[in-house]
Amino acid sequence: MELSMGVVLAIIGAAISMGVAAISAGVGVGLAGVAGAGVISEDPKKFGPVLVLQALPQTQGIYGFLGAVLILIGVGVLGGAAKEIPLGMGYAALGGGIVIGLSSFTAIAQGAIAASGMGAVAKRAETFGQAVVLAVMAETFAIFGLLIAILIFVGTKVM
Amino acid sequence: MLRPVRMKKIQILALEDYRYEAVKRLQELGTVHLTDYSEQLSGPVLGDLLRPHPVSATIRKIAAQNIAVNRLLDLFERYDPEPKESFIKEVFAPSPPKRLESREMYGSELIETVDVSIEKIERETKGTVKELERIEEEIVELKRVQGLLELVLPLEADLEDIGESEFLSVLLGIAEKEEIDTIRGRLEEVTGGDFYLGTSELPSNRWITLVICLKEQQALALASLRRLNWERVELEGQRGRPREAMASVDHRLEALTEEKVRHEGVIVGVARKWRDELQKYREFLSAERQREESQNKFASMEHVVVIAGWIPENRFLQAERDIREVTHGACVVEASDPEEGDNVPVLLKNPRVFRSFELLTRLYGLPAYNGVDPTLFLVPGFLLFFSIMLTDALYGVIALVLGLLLIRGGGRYNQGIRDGGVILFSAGAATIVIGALSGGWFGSFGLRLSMLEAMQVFDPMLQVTAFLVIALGVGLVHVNTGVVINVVDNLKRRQLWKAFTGNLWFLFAQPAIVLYLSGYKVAGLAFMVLSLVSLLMGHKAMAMFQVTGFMGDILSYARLMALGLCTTGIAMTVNVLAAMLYALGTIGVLLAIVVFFVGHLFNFVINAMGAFVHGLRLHYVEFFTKFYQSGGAEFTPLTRNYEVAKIT
Repeated sequence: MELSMGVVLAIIGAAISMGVAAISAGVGVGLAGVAGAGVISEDPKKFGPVLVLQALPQTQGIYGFLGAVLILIGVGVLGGAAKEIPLGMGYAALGGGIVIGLSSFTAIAQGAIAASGMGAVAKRAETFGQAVVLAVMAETFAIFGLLIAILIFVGTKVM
Repeated sequence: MLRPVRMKKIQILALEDYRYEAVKRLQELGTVHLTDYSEQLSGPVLGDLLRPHPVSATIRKIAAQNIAVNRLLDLFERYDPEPKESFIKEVFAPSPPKRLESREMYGSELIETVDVSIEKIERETKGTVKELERIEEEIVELKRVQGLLELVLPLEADLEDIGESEFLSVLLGIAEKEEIDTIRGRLEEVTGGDFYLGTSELPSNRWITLVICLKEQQALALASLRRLNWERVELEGQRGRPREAMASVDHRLEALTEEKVRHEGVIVGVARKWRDELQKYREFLSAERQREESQNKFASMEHVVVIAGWIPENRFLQAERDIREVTHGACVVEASDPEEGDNVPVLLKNPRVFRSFELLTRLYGLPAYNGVDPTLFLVPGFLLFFSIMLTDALYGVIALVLGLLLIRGGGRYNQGIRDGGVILFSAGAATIVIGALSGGWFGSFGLRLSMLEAMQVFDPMLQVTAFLVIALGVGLVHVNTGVVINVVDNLKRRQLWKAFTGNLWFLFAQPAIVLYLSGYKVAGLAFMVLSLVSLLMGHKAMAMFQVTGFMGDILSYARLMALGLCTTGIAMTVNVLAAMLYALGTIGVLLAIVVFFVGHLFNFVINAMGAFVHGLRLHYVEFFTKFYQSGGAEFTPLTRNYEVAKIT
């Protein structure tokens, strides 16, 4: 199977999107999980709120996954035959992948916030909603990253 | 509805003799939030007249009784635990909670009855509990001996001989097979040949060793042995060979266990007889305690008790009537309006359909008394945002069904579960509508049915830019709503300056831009001037940050589109993967079905959570900040909460 350079670049973009997002989301969820284990060792009944807080940094990983899938479907690697796409479009897809991957770093900070939030919930269970809101604030920029990537894909006809 | 319930300050002066009945009646009404009078006693007028009310005489007694009752109930729970439902069952299909019919008990009758009951129960259980403790101790010791005997079971020596005699010291221990010769050699050195080493083989490469040496050399021998990984087995006080000793220990353990079961049966009997009574007493005691503790907030003069608090406006007449009845007219009940600077407690009141959504307002924080109750505005906004971000009708169906299960299940007895269920149900319903309009039925799976395809008016994956514009448009409307609420609120409170200079500039800026761009330059400039004047007068140096702040707020709503697309994108991915597996043949079909359902379920969970959290976040950060004043204290009236006892 001959892959044009454009398709190859797009695939690298997909790889970066998912790969870097996976690292960030993993670290974020890991930070939160470490704190969570501490909380439930003191009070197993708090598992529900702890789990919700731990799940919050995951979303950046989902965005990375989505970005990769959009690229792969767009260039035909997934679900059909790889199209012949011009080099420029390949670079555009690469750019989209990079922006998602980079903006996923917010997950690391989000994991730290979630971890502290678990500490707040451990002390005072009624602060759960507020802890969630604090953690979610970090996600704004990952969303903007996804948004820009989508706009790139749409604008350059990758999608 | 749009504001917390209007409160009045209530002040009651009553004869001290009727204090108990008055407090009890207030507690039954459950409409008065008591305030601490001691704060007002430092003032000049009242300071001379009033003293703080003396502490209740019975409060210590009640606290002690409470502790005793809890201790006994814990004891019952330990030996005769009440069956508990699993978490799933509790949430979706709980059995009705236990209710015990009873006459209400209070005052001295309650205290005496509880005393008598506690005494009776203690008499029946104290001895048994002591016995059980003793038995438990002995069992632990026997089990320890059992463990040691296990180690030396094959030994054929009499355990009575282990230990010290007149001249000799007999030591029993375990050693590794390889060390035996070294041990022999070391003992030879240390004792000068005056020793005996007997060995018996054990499975797992270890040997039982019996060491006999002169008493004087015991310390030396032990020291050397210990260095060679020799593990001493201390079984002083046992008789016969290990096998026989083991049999006798087993026998004793059996007897003890039987005795233990017998004693436990006694406690179970007592528990069955008294548990319901004690649970009722616990609740009555708690109510009594609240009544007595509230006295700390009262003030008193000669023969008069002074009670102050907050009461909802429309409950005042009822309270006045009841107090007058219970004190036989020997009282003065007054109401006055709250003043500036009073910390008025906040009670939310919304129509029944919206009441469950108060949960979302509380999550952020109660509004200040003079602020706006945002619950009514929160409902349509939240439902809209949630459904846009979870753009899939079948996911909406899942949410709706889940919500229904919660309402019909745990929601029957638990208000929190009911609220969650209502929110989920409504969010699901809204999502079905939006999902149908955007053609999301597990992604594009359902679009094969022409009826469903006909409903689609919008394709989020193709009309991406349009989606973004819609999202930002929704944001613009939402933010404007917030500003309007703020302006109207200020006008109602006659704070005209605040109304003009707050966020009003934003409302002027938009028509300014629209008019200017559509050719009406003069009108456009006029509005722009108004807007700038309002902005600069209100915010002076911070004016620029207001503009960028608002821009950021509106852009934040772009997440509606991003998350909506995310759901659709992942749904599409699941479908593509399932289709690829399906094409592989028989095993593929099976895998395809699994991937399809698991994938969509996963997508539902992740994106429903995201839609919920981000929908709320948009309200808290972009909407509330325009008009909301939080920080209200919760209205907590003196009330009684009987969960188990049911007053007949």
